[in-house]
Amino acid sequence: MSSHSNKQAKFLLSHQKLVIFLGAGGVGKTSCSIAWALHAANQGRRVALISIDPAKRMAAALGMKVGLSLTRLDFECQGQLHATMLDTKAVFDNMVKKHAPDEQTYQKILHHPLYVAASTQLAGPAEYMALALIQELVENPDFDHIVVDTPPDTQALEFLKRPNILAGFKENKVMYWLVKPFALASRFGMERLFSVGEKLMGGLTKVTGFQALKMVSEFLLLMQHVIDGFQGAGETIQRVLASEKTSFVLVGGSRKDSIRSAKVLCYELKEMGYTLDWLLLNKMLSNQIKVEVAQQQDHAESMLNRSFKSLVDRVTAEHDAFQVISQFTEKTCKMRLGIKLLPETSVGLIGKEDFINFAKNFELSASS
Amino acid sequence: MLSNIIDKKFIAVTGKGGVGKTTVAASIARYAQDSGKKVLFAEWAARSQIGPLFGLDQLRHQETELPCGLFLINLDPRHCFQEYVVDHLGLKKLYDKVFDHRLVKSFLQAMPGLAETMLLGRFYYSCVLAKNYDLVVFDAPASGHYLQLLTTPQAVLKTGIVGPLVREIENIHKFLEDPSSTSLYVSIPEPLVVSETMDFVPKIIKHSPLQLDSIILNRVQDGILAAKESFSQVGSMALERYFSELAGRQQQALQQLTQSVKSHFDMKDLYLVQELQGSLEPFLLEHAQAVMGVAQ
Repeated sequence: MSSHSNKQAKFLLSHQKLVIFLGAGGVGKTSCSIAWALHAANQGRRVALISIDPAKRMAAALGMKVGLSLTRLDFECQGQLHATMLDTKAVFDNMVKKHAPDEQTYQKILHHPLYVAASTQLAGPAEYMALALIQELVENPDFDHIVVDTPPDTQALEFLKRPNILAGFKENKVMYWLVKPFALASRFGMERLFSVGEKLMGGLTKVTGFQALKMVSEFLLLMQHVIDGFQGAGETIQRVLASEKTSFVLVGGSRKDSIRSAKVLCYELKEMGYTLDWLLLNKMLSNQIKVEVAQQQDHAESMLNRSFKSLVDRVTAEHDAFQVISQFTEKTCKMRLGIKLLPETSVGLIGKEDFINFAKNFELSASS
Repeated sequence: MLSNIIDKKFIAVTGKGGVGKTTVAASIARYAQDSGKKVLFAEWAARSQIGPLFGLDQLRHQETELPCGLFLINLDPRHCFQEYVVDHLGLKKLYDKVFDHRLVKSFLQAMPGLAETMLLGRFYYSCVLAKNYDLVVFDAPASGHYLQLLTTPQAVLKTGIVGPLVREIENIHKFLEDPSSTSLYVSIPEPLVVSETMDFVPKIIKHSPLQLDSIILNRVQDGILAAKESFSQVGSMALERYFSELAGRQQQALQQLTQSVKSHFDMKDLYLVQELQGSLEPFLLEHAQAVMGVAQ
């Protein structure tokens, strides 16, 4: 099976432009995406690796400097490897600059207290900006392979659903019906509101207060062209995510929560019309260990050791995990690349050398 | 004693993904409930984690009582907002007419920070205003998103917006800062996880309004060295190596964390929790007791 999936891995490498790694927390998504990016660079591709997890763990894992803008990593390979962690504010500023109608509006937005909060601290825009950054990289001719490390499962789904979040805003013409009339009316201190939109906003003020809603509306009005721009970008990125050239890779482990997570992600990806191509079961015990566990069962039982019991639990869990996952994926999604097992590394991956070694798992033609 | 924590009113449990946050949070909730408290165990998840742990297929935004007397809920910020307007402000008509309108829904959905604020607000109402529960335990998001969530009220307050909603946010912020609200950070003895812990704990101490009570090192194993010795004697090389590496990682994690607690973590307590064995589903009282360090 391994040689089969490695042949298939070549497909991912030579045909795909965007590869997105998903999975539950703690399964090794970041490690797998780093290793895959190294592997791709080694095979001569010009790779951009980005982490959009706000936990910003990539630099620590690599033991190298990974900044908030794309930096070429010092790493000898056929191709190139650039990496970055998402800087929400920078991407946001960029989007505003691109879509603001003029310099004055751009400056006004940039210094608006609501913009400052939204671009630095609040959660929603971060996911949106991640998508914008991915789109930017996909369009960048300097790269031919983009690898994305995502936050843990639930949050990753949030981010994949993000392109739609402004859809209702546009379809329902919220700006036209709600925001604009209210912002204009409130500018003159009019508290008597006439149109449907004004009345709805008037109702909202009973909860938010007049001043708060006025501030928000005026800000949105200021942002109207930018919001249109976001909406357009959202539609584009959705096409990119659903494209033939995009593959989703699911990383799983043997713990029950990661199996459950893998199942949900399979479903959700399918629902959203995206293609899951490959499933990596990570941190698997070596065969040698499994053999010795079986051999030593009797000896170990007599010593009543809790650590050994934990290891036995793990062997069982791995066996079950593989069964459950292969049956499940067989039924739900025909993954083009099937399932690949990746071994647990001896001391955990820290530093470039460890990752270069770990990346070799993608090369080996057969490992049992 | 970790078990003393159940005297608080609100406890959020965070840590890197996959370290057993849910198990630790479930243990506190189940143990507190068994000690005679009325407890709500809450999560905010696209798919429920805590439901399956306690044998439920699904869990939605509805307080659900288990046979043992523990209450569970999977919070949905949109419902939190509805409860706020309808139940707490008593504005049902207004909600139906205005907030349920598709235009307004689209408007509110696009507001950054609103979902986070409403979620935290729900805890404030359950713990302080409604006083329905003695304790609310929150199986919180992983480190990065946790920090984003907890700093949302401050971010909104800093914008200079005024009005009744903002006064509520001030109350929510005060509730989080109150000593009866607290949090726990869960880690495990693995190098990457420990390095994330050393990175995040000082950030949480510095930026989160919710104070940090202590750090929990989960999945500690006793008997690793004994196992290593034993397999070395019978000549099982792979097993000897496995346990030897495991021992090294655990030892290193303990050293680093103990050192950090002294120098960077304001002397927070560090609790060691033994790895639980066998299946945790359904989650039993004995699991909770083992985690809380009160097992008989």
